[in-house]
Amino acid sequence: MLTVLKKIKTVMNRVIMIVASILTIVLVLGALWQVFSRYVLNDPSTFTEELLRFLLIWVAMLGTTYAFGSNEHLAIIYLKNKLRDEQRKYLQLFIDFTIIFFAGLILIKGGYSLSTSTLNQLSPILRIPMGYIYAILPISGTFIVFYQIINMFERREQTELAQQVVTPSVSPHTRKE
Amino acid sequence: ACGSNESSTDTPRESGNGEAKEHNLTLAHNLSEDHPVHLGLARFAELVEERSEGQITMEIFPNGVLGDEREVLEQVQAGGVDITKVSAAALENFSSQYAVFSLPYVFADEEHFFQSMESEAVAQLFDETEADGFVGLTWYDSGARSFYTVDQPIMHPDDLKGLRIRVMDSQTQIEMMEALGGAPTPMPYGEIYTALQSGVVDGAESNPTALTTGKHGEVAKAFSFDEHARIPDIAVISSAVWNEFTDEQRQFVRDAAKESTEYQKDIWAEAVEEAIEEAEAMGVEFHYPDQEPFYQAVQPLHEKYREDEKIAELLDAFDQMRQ
Amino acid sequence: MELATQAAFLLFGVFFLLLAIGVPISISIGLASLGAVILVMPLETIVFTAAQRMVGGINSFALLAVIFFILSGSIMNNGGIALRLINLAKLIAGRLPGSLAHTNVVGNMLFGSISGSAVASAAAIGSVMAPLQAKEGYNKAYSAAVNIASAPVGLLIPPSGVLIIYSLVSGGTSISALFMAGYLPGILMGLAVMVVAFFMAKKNDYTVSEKVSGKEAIKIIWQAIPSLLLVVVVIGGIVGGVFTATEGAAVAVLYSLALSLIYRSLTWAHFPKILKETIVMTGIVLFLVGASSIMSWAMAVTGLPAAISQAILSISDHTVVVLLIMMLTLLVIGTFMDLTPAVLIFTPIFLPIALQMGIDPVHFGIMLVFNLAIGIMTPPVGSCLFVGCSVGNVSIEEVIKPLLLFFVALVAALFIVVYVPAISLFLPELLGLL
Ligand code: NA
Ligand code: NA
Repeated sequence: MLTVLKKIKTVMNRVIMIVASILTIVLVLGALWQVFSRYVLNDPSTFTEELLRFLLIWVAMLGTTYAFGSNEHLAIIYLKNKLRDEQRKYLQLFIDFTIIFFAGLILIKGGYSLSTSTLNQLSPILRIPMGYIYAILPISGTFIVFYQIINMFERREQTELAQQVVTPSVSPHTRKE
Repeated sequence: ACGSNESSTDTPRESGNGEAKEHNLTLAHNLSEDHPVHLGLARFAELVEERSEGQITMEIFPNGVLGDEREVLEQVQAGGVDITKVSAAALENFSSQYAVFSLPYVFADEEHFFQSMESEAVAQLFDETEADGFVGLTWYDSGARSFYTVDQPIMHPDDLKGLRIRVMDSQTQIEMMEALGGAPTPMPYGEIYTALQSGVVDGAESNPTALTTGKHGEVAKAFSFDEHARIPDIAVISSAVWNEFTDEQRQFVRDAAKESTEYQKDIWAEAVEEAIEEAEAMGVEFHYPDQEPFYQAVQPLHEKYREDEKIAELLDAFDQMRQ
Repeated sequence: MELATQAAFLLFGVFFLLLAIGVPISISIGLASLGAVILVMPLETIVFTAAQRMVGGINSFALLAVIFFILSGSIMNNGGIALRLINLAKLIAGRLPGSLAHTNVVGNMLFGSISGSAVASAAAIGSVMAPLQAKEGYNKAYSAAVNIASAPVGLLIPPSGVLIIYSLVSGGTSISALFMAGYLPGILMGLAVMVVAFFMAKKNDYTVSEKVSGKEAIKIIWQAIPSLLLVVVVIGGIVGGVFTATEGAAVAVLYSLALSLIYRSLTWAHFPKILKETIVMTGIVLFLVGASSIMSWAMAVTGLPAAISQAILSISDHTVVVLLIMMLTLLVIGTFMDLTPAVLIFTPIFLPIALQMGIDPVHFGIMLVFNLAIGIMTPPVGSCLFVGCSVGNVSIEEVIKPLLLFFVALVAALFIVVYVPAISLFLPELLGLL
């Protein structure tokens, strides 16, 4: 089970990073094109301003999703690190739950109704349905929930391993979160 | 503060549709509290409250605290906000017929504009979007838009050649600039001042109040009254609330809306006059070009948009009122 | 209880509780906002609007600059740019007592003038300086403290990602004006660290670097010029109207990329890692921006900002006192909260009060960022503190004592910036940006 989940996570990581990397490169090139078309060609690009804003939303949400997978979001772990292993386990479970709750309620549920209710609204310049732009919310929400579930399994495995080893080589207090 | 609250304790007023509910409505928009359109909306809220004897009350959220125009309209569609005002230019993304107001020189002058806005065609347009989640209530004057540049007056479309002019985020505005020969440059409103100052753009287009409230007159010294567009602000109400109203309540709201429009027209005219005076003191020079060459230059654009049947109907209705 | 009071209790109560137990800051902000706004709206409306505010917060052309500055910082961090700037810093500050400490500070100032990230600066400059200082017999914890205390100067010296975020949440304060306003306070911040370093050098008999020959000096300057030209290209381009601030950030990416490839300090093989760092960091920062946008909506519909400003103004309506209250609050907040979330949360609360007192929004932005920049070096939580300790190879406990003196000097400098607006406003006024 866990090996399958880990494999899924690796694939998710990869897909997200490849898509986000391509979009990031487009962001840089698009902004440079905007300068070039206006300053050198004197024929300002009219679509880049809107396109880049929309791509930024996608890159940001993909990066957000990835950072949940790798546990990199800013948090104050001072208190958590002071706890004993057992207590920390329950606290961590609660934290996982708050993330899943937020992702499920706002990103998936809210994002889905936002996205479906704006399919008839067109963006001012590119004339694409706004619902497509908003679609990144339920997409990233779903990925975040997956990531959190996989992370929960991974943590359980870690604690089981730690219990088997008599003298843990890494103090849990210095474990990177 | 949101949506409508049922009330069984107060005596409801009878009307054709049965029991009348009490409503505490949320009205949100993105203008400051001294803007003429805000004053129009505030007057509207006051009148509705008065006429309905407190049955319909409103809480106003100005300054865009609930989101920008587009976002608040989405909230109106979803039922989070009940009433808002939207520029017709933004409405065209929700309902394509509204693009008619963004076309240049649809209206010959202010009188023609006012008459057209009161026409049956516009009243119909207001009702047509009910299935999209909102209904138009009334319009507010947002003046005539003209070009202003750092130093060079625009007396003829040829003067726009090679100039980068900031335009609003809108396909019709871009096509208009192209038809007139300038280089359309979309950018956020907040960046215009710096862009004019540093030379990223040579000019922009709006009504004279942009010179003072946006301080653009500090950096743009030539304002040319070519008056290429009159894009009204439209007050809209969510279909959900509209359908809960009794006939009598609808009438209160319609009447109050209409009256507030008359009230706002005068405030707007005063605000523009004040802005012109203030801008002159800032060193802005006002120019009055012959509008005919501009009008001729954009005719192909009208032809193109006439392909849309509903827009063609509206254009015909407006043209009938031309003197 | 009044609605605003109830909302305040819910919002801040839930927020600090979740924050304290280790829930990610962005999630804490989001959930606390929902907790407050549930007082006035049905859940379905809340959920829809919160999702919309999340995207609405990120949907801004100006915020593109944030990802660009993170990307260019990441490229420079891997590049040979830092080394050349340190050589120049040594040339500038090398004859002062305790010269390596001064070199570190000036190095951070130079790096900050081309990069918008304090953490990148602490890592890039600190990792080169730490071994040099150890070799000269400097106390390890002291060297790390110097680096940690001076790395945040780049947040004020433009370009600066956080000033762009402030410009946005403050309702469109001119980015050009903010950038110009940041120079002098940023330099003052560096000088405050140098004053302490000067006395510490006397006390500990730290060495002065050897005099550099004229020929060598010319070589060092020559080598640093391409890096420093970035200032001319980017800041010059923005002020000169070639491009907007956001576009300038993209130009900075192109420039630093070209430079690093020419220096051969970067190969194409580094790219996946640089992109990944950038995307993750952007995701973290912009998700915070989105969550904060939910919070400012929640505060608006519950009438919180007005209630808070009333509460503060009821204590005193003296500008001096009100500013003091705000600055002390922010110093406390800064101990445990990172710069970006603090700017996002406190700008909508404090700025209206400041405006009411007639304070220029540009000046307020500078004092806010200066204040919270001190926060990223203070324990228990501070990104600069963590990175500085890690590259300096010391523990947080060890670095606290040497940091304390720098902290005092920086707070003194902060109050000079707060109560002497001209330090911030002189340059933008000179250039006609205000
Ligand atoms: Na900087
Ligand atoms: Na801190």
